[in-house]
Amino acid sequence: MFYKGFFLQNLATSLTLFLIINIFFIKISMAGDLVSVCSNNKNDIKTKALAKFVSDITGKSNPKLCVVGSSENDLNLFNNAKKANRSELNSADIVFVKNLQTNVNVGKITFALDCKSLKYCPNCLGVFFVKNGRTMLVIFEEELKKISLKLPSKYNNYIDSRKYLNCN
Amino acid sequence: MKEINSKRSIAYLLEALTISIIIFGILYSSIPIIQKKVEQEIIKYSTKNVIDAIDNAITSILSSPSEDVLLKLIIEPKARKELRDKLIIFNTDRIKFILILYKDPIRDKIRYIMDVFEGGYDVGTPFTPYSLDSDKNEIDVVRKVSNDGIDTYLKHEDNNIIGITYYHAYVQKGIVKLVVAIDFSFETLKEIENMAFYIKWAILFVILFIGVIFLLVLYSIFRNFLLKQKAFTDSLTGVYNRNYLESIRDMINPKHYVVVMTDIDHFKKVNDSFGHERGDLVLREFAKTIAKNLRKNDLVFRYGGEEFLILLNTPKKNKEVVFNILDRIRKSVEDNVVDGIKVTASFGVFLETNKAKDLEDAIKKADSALYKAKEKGRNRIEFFKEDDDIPNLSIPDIIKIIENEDVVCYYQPVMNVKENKVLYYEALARLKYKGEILPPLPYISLIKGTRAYANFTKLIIKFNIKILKKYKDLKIGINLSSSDFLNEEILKILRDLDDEFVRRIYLEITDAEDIKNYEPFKKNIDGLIEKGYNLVLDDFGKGNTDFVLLTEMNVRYIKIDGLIVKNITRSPDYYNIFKHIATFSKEIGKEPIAEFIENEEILQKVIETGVKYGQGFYFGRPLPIERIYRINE
Repeated sequence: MFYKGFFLQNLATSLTLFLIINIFFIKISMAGDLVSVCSNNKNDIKTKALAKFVSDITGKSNPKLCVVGSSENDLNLFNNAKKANRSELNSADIVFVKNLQTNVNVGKITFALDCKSLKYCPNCLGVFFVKNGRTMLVIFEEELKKISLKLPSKYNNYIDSRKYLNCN
Repeated sequence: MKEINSKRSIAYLLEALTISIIIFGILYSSIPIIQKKVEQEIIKYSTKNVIDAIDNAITSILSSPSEDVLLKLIIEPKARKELRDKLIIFNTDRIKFILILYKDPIRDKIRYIMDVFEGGYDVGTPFTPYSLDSDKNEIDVVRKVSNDGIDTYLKHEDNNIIGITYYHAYVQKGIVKLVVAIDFSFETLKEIENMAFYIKWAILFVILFIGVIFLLVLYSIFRNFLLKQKAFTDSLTGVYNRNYLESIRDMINPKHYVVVMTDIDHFKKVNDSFGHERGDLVLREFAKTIAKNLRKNDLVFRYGGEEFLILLNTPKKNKEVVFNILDRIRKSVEDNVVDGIKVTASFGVFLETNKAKDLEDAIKKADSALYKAKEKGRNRIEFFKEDDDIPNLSIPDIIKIIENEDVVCYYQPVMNVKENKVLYYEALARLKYKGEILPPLPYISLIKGTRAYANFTKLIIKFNIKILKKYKDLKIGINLSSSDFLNEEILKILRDLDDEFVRRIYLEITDAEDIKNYEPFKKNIDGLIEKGYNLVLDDFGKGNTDFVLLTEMNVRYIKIDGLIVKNITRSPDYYNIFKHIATFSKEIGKEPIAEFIENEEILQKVIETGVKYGQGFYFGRPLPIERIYRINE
């Protein structure tokens, strides 16, 4: 009986440890599999529309922004950017994700740059994607409520419930 | 004056040019609007077939016209597929995408029904193209089409896939149910823009062409204006001439002016003594003095010879103000010695022009006042007074005047214009009434055919015999109406006169057209000619001019009517009539006399036709014979 109890206690501890290690490894693997670049200057962003959006959403004239993608090809958003380490990612004002293959949660305002990445980024505030030759923007009202972010009224047109967006 | 005219012309030209530049500017600035309109039409035309086909396709999926298309497409995947199958054929190089959209009325969002070519979008997916430019925000454009039901389009200038999107409202029962966005390729946009560009240049060319034509017309009008101005300006004095007065006569309301007639006193003497060249100089200076003393809105015309018409634009017809203006001119003329020649001027003013029938009437009244100024000794200003002009005389008043022998004659010379010698003086009757001398015309016609009239004629003959007795070298023309030549008492006086008087009397036959009993009239005339009288047929050319009478009567002279003569410088027709009457007269052995020679120009024309004799104001106004002798001395 004692052994049985000891076994179960150890099993629970092991499972907890396994889970902790797993979570740690996921985070580690994100840093390992995914690539990120950062910049301190919004003017580095190639797309003027995105640069303006970054300013409006962060409320900062020179926000720190990072892009996280599954490969280096996905990071081609800046003119001048350098690869970021973990601490730089932590200090970013806004993070864009692209072509994700794994879940990402960096605890920052996150925007997807493609529709399919939304699947791996449940906390994304919105998405920029190209459809019918147009750059579409959808900002999720549920996420806005969560972080209590108030956007300028000109973005009202783009705020909608996430449930309406089908990225299949 | 010429300088003022040319400055005014330049001002008119500048004004016209400014107006044309403004018009051209407006036309030029409207080009973008025209271009936009043209572009709209091209787009509308190019999309019409597609729009019709799409409308038909949408309508065809409905089982009945009352079925709600939006509801059907939202809830029935089969309907969406059917519609997609029908619209997929539009997938060409020109059309990149066809999007069927609708406005979610609950959340006020624009959503997809479907993306026809690509598919893969579920009903309700938000249509949220992001744009920095609020004017080109497609969401607002679609919302507007959905609200207003008016099709529109948007050009995507920073997009190299789609060039232009046409937004078409699909309306059912007056409500916009769907908005169909048709994305045309970038190449299609370029084609449309090229077409619009060529049309814009075509329009610009047409505007330029119209502009050039307009400028040419403007130039031609201005040139015509200058030519007219030249034709309307007196070349000697630089003021307006009589032709200009005639051309604007109908436009002049005499009520707005004070009408003044003025002329240089004894101007004929200036011409005779100093020659025409210096006479012209005096005239020029006179016109300059008048113009200098007038204001911008006043008008001056050379009315004829040395006579000028002034129209003073003075709304308040204050006698004192008008007198001061004219007296200033009078004094300037008096003080201004031109090339050693000193002249004076007289002025006749008609102030109460609101009472005038027309400008002609006002001029007549001013002229009558000028006449009075001359009578009263010249170098003065006389105002016309209605009461003084023509008193209202009754027939008993006229008879009383005749009975009291209150009749005198004024004399006007009939000249040999070639030799500048007096042929005779025409006696013009005047009635004396309350200290005034009145012309007989309005009154004597009242008693025509009566015994009083015959007495009046006898009185005139008697008066003139007295004058002939007094002035031995004088020859006089006496006016007798046709009825006088049938009056035995008058004929007896004439027949009984001594030959000494007879050869100095010229009998002028007036009203020849009234002759009813021709034979005795001719017989009496012939008798008088035989006696030695010179017979003159008066006023030939007006009324029922009778050439048979003219040929049959053995008169020696024919007076060509003044109405013809005074117009010979203005009208070639009058000149020709005058010339033909004069030629005809001479051919039948009668000497023509031109009446109403008012100025040098008329005189020159008369001489040009070979007419030897003439009379008129140019040679002298009617005056008492004593004054004529005094002046001639």
